[in-house]
Amino acid sequence: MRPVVAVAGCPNAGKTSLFNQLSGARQKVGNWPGQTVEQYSGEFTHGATTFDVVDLPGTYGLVAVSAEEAIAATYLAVEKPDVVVTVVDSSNLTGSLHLVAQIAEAGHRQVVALNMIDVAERRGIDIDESVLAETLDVEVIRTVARKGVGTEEIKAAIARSLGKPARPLTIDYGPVVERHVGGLIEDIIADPDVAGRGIPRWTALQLLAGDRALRGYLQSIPGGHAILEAAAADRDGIAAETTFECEMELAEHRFEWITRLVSEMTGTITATTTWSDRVDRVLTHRLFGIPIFLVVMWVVLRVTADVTAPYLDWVDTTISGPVSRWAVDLLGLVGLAGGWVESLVVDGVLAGVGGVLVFVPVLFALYLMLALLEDTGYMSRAAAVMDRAMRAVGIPGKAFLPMMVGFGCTVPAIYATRTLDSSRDRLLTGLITPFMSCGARLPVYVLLATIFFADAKSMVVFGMYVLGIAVAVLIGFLMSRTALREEDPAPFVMVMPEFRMPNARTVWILVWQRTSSFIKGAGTTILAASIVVWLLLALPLGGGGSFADTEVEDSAFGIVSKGAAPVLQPLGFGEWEQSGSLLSGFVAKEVVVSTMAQLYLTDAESDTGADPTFGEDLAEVGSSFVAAGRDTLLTIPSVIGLDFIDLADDTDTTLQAAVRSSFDSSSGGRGSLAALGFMVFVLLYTPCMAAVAAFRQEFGTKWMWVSVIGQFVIAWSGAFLVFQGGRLLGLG
Amino acid sequence: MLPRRSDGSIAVKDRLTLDDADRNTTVRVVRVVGRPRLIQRLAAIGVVPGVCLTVVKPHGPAIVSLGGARIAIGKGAAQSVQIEIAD
Repeated sequence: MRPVVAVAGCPNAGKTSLFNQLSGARQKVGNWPGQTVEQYSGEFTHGATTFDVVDLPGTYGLVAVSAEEAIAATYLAVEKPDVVVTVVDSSNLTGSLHLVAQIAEAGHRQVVALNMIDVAERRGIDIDESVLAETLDVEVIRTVARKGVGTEEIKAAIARSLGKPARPLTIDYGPVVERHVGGLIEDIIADPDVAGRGIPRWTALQLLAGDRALRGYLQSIPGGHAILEAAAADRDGIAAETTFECEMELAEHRFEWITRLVSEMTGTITATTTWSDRVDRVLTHRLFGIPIFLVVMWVVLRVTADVTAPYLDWVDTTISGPVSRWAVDLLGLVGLAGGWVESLVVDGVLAGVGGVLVFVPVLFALYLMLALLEDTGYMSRAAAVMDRAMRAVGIPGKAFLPMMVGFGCTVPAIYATRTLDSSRDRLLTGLITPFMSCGARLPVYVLLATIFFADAKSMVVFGMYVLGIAVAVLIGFLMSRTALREEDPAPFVMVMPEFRMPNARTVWILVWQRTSSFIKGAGTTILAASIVVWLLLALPLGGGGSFADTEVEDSAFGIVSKGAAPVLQPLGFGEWEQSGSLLSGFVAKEVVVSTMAQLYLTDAESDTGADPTFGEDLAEVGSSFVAAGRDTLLTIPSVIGLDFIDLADDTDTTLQAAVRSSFDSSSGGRGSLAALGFMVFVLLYTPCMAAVAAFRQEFGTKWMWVSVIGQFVIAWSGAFLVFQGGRLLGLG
Repeated sequence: MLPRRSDGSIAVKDRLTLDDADRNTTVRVVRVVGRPRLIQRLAAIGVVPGVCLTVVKPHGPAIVSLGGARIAIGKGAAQSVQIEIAD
């Protein structure tokens, strides 16, 4: 059997970087919550031996308080890996050595990576690692995992440590604790089930510290209850005798040991105010913090919406033009041109693929901006700033990170709620996260804002994002006062990572993984949705026509959409094409626009001229890509408010004209108002299938229905308010 | 300089909390009171009786320096960390 290596470490210590260096796997690196709740594993070979590597969740210690700590503690206790590599933030030895000490107390074979040693050196911290190596009888290696420094030495140390017996660390917890530990150890040894869990002294200490994972295990075995009761009595006894809570008493002795060790390793570290502190004082300032955050978000959204627009057009015209023509030509070669197969390929498959690819520039830009914010360390400052504001309305500060992820996609955002401390916080955050406007909703705003609000496009799109946040906050506030009231709110305590220059490789991996996972996920769901919609469009249920050759109105899709349309009548978008595109949004929000395109344009004859040759097409694709790049560069100054070129010269394409006339007629001449209501509806209504599935997995079927139905009602009410309210005020 | 409470009064020494401390003061943690979740979280991060913290920024949230690391602590958590002024 292969030896197993587990990589442990505090959040932001560079654990995932080292894991990537060891396994060569392309995992993301950054501060996103939830990234390591999924277990990542890989392998590496050193000499003749191949090792399996497992990446443990980032934790400050092994006492299970949060889900991550429970995973790490349980994995170590049950799976008993052959070697644990503990990644330490060298610039924060005191904070990091807590985990190292606990892993040593638990009796694991350990290799310590003194990571980010370059940061420590820059701060003038001179570390003598031999003190740590001798105290724990382990190998200590200096590493800079982001740059791959020290990786080979770590591998060699792992291989060497395999042959060595592990020597558990014993810390003196003082007479009171030691007396109670002694009693508990006797109980533990007497029960073979419990004794097999790990070395008895460590099990006793975990019990006294109130480890949830161990408590859960003991509750599930016959002899466990007696031991739990004994441990509870010991906890009370220690608290009474020392006047400190039991977990504090344990931590105090452990940190006394750590502080002594650190001072032997480094001498006294004098805290000096660094430039990073000065920046922090401004970025997390009680008055300026939130405005700065909003400005940062504004720049992110401008880049996402405006700078990428030329590329968006390029993808769109390339797919609907040359690529569709090539597909038809290819089909012609095998004798399938003109029939339902051509219709399926062009109107179903290529329309679907185009609907996916058209987002790639937008999401790429969004993910790039988010990755930069993460890798520089700003994201943690933003969480610190938002905590106070969010706590005031009953939402935990940590909910901020899943909500930020929600701007990209609701699905990872829902999984990201796992990093919150309690199930109540997780559920609350899960319920409000879908209101954060995900990337897939953006094209709907962009399309409608371009048609109806060309002069204030950015403002309207930004407004949708702000409205989403406002609704999320309102719902969070109401839930925290009613169904999800709580007595013991989670504290806001967070170690802030050092500011740093973003690392090109880290940022690229983050952007590439997120973008490609969107393409892969979308490639199946959206393509399937597009084909289903095509099929519904092809089935002639309403009378006239034959398969794949029927009026849209008479198709199965038309019948379903017409059935749903009256519900949306009071909102000003009761035409069946509109309800149909919203209907397809249940499958994936990405297809709302592509369905509109399909519904409005199926009959529109493409303007026929002489078909360009393949060579001409290819040249056009290339030169228009270059033009898109030039336009993008010209747009960048507009992000900071300098408009060198006029973006508003969008020509009214066939789709835009069709959409405009449809909204004008469905709303009785108040097209802009109905379009605004439509955008609000798209922002707020039931998320896509994938998000609903993620929600059900995390929170159960009951809460899934609460979310699905609740959001539909909220969206309907919101759009009703906009349209009917606006009408009463005489707008539109 | 002695920390002052928000109403301007000089805080009574044995009831001082991290929320009262001014910028650039170095304080020693005396004890941490509160719910188990708060206590376990602070213990894991190293905010335990006896350690010294330097206040980088007070309030909204507070940022303290602990052995080179910067820790952000929200108001509620800061109020449950009892401190004394270190010399």
